[in-house]
Amino acid sequence: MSWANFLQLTVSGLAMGAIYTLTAKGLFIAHLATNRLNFAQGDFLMIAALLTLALRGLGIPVPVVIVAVVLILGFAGWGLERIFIRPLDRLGFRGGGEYSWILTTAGAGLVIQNVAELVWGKSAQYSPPLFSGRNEPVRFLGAGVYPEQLAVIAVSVLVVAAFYWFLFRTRWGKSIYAVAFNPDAAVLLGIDVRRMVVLVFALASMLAGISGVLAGPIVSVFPQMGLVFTVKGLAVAAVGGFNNPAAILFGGVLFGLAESFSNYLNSEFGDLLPLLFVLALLIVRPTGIAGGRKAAAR
Amino acid sequence: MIEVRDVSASIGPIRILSGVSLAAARGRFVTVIGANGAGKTTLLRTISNLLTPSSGRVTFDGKDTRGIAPHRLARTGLVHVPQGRQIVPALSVEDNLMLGASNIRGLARGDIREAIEREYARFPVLRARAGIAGGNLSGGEQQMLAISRAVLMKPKALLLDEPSLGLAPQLVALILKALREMADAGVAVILVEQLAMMSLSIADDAYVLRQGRIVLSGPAADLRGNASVVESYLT
Amino acid sequence: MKTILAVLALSLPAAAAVDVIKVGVVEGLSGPPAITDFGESYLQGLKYAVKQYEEGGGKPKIQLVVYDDEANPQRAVSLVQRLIQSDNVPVVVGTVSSGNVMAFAPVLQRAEVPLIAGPSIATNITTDFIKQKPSYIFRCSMVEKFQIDAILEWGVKNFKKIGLIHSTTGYGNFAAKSIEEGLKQRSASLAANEAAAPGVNDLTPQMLKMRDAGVDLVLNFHESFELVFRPMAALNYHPTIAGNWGLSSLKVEQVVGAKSLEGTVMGQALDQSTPEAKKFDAGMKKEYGKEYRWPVVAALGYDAGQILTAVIAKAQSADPKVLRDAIENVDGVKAITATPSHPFSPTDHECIKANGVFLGVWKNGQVVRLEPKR
Repeated sequence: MSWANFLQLTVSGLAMGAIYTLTAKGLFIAHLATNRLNFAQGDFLMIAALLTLALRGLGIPVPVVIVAVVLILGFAGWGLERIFIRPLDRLGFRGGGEYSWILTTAGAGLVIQNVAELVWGKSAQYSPPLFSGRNEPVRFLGAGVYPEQLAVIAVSVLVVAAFYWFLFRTRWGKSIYAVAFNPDAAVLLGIDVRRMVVLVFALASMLAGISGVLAGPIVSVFPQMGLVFTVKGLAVAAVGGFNNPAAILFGGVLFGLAESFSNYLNSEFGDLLPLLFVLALLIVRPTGIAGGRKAAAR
Repeated sequence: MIEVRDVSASIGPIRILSGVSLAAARGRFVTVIGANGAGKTTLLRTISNLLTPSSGRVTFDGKDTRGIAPHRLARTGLVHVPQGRQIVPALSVEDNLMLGASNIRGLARGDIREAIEREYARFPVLRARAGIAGGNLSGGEQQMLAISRAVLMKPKALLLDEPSLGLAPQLVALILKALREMADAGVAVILVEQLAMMSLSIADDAYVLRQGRIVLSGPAADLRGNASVVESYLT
Repeated sequence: MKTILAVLALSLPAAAAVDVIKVGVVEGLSGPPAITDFGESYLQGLKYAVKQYEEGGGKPKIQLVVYDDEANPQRAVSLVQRLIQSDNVPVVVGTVSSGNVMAFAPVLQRAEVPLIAGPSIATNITTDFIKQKPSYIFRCSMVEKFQIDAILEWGVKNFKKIGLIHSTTGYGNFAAKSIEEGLKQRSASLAANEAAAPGVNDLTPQMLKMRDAGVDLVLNFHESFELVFRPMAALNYHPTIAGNWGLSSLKVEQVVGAKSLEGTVMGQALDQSTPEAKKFDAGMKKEYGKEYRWPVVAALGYDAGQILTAVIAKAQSADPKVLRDAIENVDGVKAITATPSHPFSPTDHECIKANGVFLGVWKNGQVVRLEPKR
């Protein structure tokens, strides 16, 4: 393989890996605090991408669009927790048991897909570049990189760093660990668990929002695109052990690179090889790369 | 400080408490003894509002606690240390202590540091293990940590659910001493226990809980004198 | 009661005037865009033809009974059964997926109800039935073999190295096979052959392989057609792209951008520069506005509609056998597409002939006929 090809594959692999990492981070933070996650995470990404399209179509400048989309998605996260997850707690056993949130969030995803289809139609959309001059990639050492790819890689690294700081250095981050461990005990420490849960789901959805805004110009945008991202996000989060932000980044990078290179070497199997790789890793180390002690012992 | 008046509570269809009344004034050390399944944990959960009573009233600092969210109650000084210590295993000793301190509004950074240092003085082993993750502590160390964490929440009332469980006697004595000091400093302490004699020897007032009802109450010294009667209620 | 009436009705002389003739339509109208764009566009053309017929005072009236098969073969078959048994239609039009057509065509052949298939393109849709005397299966749509032949014929003459990117679905694999066979017949072969899963997000690795092999013509037979175009700027690699008629949809231009699309070639059966096509285009834009996005598919639906309306007006009968014969013998069709005025015969039930398929190319945001280089 030529050096230029190697670089090219690395860059596109890192860019896709960054998108998966951001998706996985959203799943991780929700799961950390509540042992639940949003099965419609990929669909939230899709809505963010389509909203970005729509708002830009109205002529709104890019920075405003980004902020608006992230805020709207945060609101959606609040709505998801409020409507599709919290009521199940009240119903207890009659609410379908421990895992009914899987069905309700997945159901929310289907609803979102259908709404998107109604509004935007079912075919793929063209995402204009976020930074002007998309068809002028940055060239270095024989490979071409689009600014959006660089942006998504940079953002995902920033997000990992922010998460680290948030979780291990701030009061809220520590409170999340307390909630993750035992919500009743957390309440007794004066932690507003309900607000934490809302915060965490809003945060997870805002991550979906950022990844949607950035991913739009890189991938195909259409209403059914979400599921693949949800699945790959789950795979990456599992590789990261669901409990360490850096491990998730590592998992995302690995996954993206595996996807890119395996497709080059033999494109027939598509996603099979990276997913097989994840499966193999989980068999060897079920708790993921960072594995070891689980933070939550419910 | 804490007044429980004629409280009944159920979990689902099962009635756990029936018409329970007790009081813990400022600076009084109250102990509630009972066998397994008597309803001790449920009683504490009802006081801290983790559970809503089906009838009766709980007042804290003169105010009815009905409808107040438990986390808010905790922040205003009603501190409940639940069974099993509940130390967050992923966080260090220092971080666990910070969890206690930082949820109380209006504490300046300097004050927090001072308060933590006081706890390290009370339980020196915590200082030695300050950076260790909570999950790696022994049972006794976790219990000390739980108590220090509770102290950092500036309690007006302190509820403890069987802190002696699984601990060696000298450790239990150490903890009881700390609780006595809290009471002497003006905190209303409610200690729920199976170890009748040890708690009776250090508390001011005592209640015996049997199958959800208070069957015996009075000054701890009196009940201590009636050891055989007390024991009969604990079977 | 219904049966008695039906028997009585059938026993009446065939000359009794029929007021309304029902035409059954099964199309893929929901699901992935690769299906719905086809189904909706074909239906637009069909409806437009019926509308013009009624505005021109056509008698008997035509009532379209439209069902959505959701790209599901079992559903398609049960819908067709419903059309013939419950709705009693004497003729059926449809559908998008060739697999669905092949599932219900035998049902219609057995029930002796004529079918005008479209916009499905599998080569064998009519040929599998043509030997039956008579065959009830007609088709008004592109024929896959014809367009692949046209592309290969031109490709082999004009390019040094031909590469293929195809999806691993039935559609992609079938196209790959036809292409390999077609090249072999022309004593050529693929310089690079890459497969990709249908849901993939990025075709950079595959395009890298094409670039490595020095391919100057990339055959694009993947459902996510736009992904072939995306890496071209980054890789600084701009081969000519050719693919099936799907690439002529205006939606493609919206997704890929006119600049990247310039010079892309695809199979075509509609020359948009003719006056009839322009008139049709204007009329469709007026009727459907932005919803009208696929001239060639809509035009084929329209021509199928023209054939149907001509046949119904002439035969004045709701007898499926009579209609079948009338379709086979229809003449004087003023088609917008390359359909001849007398399209069918007992040995050929295709609207579009091999020589009716030509290549279109995107130039300045429009699909025009590709002028062959000499």
